[in-house]
Amino acid sequence: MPLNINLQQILLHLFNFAILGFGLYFLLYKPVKKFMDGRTAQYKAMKDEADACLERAKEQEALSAKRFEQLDEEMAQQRHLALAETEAASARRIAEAEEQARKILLDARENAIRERDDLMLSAREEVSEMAISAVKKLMNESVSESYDDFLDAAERSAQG
Amino acid sequence: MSKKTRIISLCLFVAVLILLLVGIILTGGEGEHGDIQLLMRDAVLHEEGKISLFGLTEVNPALISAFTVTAVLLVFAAAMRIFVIPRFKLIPGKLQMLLETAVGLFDGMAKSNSPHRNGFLGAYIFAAGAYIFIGTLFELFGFQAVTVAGHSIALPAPLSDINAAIAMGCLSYCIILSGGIAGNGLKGVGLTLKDFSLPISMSFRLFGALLSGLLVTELVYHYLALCFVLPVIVGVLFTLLHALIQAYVLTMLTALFYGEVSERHEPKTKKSKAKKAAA
Repeated sequence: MPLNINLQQILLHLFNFAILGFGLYFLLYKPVKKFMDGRTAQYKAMKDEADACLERAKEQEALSAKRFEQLDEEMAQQRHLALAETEAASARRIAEAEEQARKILLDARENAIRERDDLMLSAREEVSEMAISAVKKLMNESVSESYDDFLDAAERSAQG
Repeated sequence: MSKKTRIISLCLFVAVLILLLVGIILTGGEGEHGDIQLLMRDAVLHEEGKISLFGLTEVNPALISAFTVTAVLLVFAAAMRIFVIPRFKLIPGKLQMLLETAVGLFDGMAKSNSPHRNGFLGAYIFAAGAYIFIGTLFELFGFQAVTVAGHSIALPAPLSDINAAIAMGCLSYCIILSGGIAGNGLKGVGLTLKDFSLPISMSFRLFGALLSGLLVTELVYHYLALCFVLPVIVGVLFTLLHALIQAYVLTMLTALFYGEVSERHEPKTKKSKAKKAAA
């Protein structure tokens, strides 16, 4: 054949390459590719797991944020309630204190009036007693003096 | 190193160069083995330098090179399979990186050119690429063999033989055809046969490229005067470039055509049906 083309040698080359192809595929290409695919799958699984973790963390973060918002709202409500309760309690205490003060004042006033009346009464009695005693005293003093004067005068006239 | 020693070394080097030049001139044509035209013709056609294949038949030296390259590659692959691959780590070392890069390169080429069907294609272009690359580098070692006539001959690259190039080109075409059949059935056969010139172009591209390298190297080594410095460029750099380029070209073309013919085409709807559907 022209150019020294030889069918037998072409077939021998094909035979040679077929053996090489099969050998390289089973000895080198397939195991290396299997390892690379396995590693890719492993990294993909790790990435998926990391993504899932990230997703879960984001969900947790969102839940936490929501929970924080709820807590803030609850705290605000509690604060309002507490404030209202405190205001009510203080108003009640003030009212009670005012009531108590008024009562104390009334009691004090009543006591004062009663004490004044008692004082007035006792003073009146005392005054009357004093007046009586004074009159008595005056009367006793004037009788004795007159008697003394009479006696003195009688004596003097007797003497005199 | 003192100045005096340096001068002496330089003088010795120049003297050796002069002696070599004198030797070249005095030996004259002794370095030229026969007629260059005959040598070139034999390098292309292998009419003279046949080698006996186990005493069964006489074959071109490139077939022996092909068997040797196959043996070397299979031994290397077996060694890798036994000693290296079981010790692969998640963070690769240098050898693991080399193997993974080689496999990943051809696998990626198959996937990018034929995304829908690439399992077999990747394995084929890996084997073809390795065979062309290592086979082309094989000629650098200059392994000697004895011809039937009793002459010593340096084993050439396997694909510098037209029979090897035809085998590789036709096999690649058959692989493309099989991709067409697997992807599109009879339509795939038609698509592949449309490029009927492909096996010839693939075969002769390989043959021409590798033979030209061989011929230039033969030409350079034929003249002793050209055997200084020039072989480093012609013999080593050109061969390395050839090995890379030819391995890339054949695998890329095979992957490209394989992807083209195996791509599944949507069946065309008839115009009347389409009009009715539109109405």
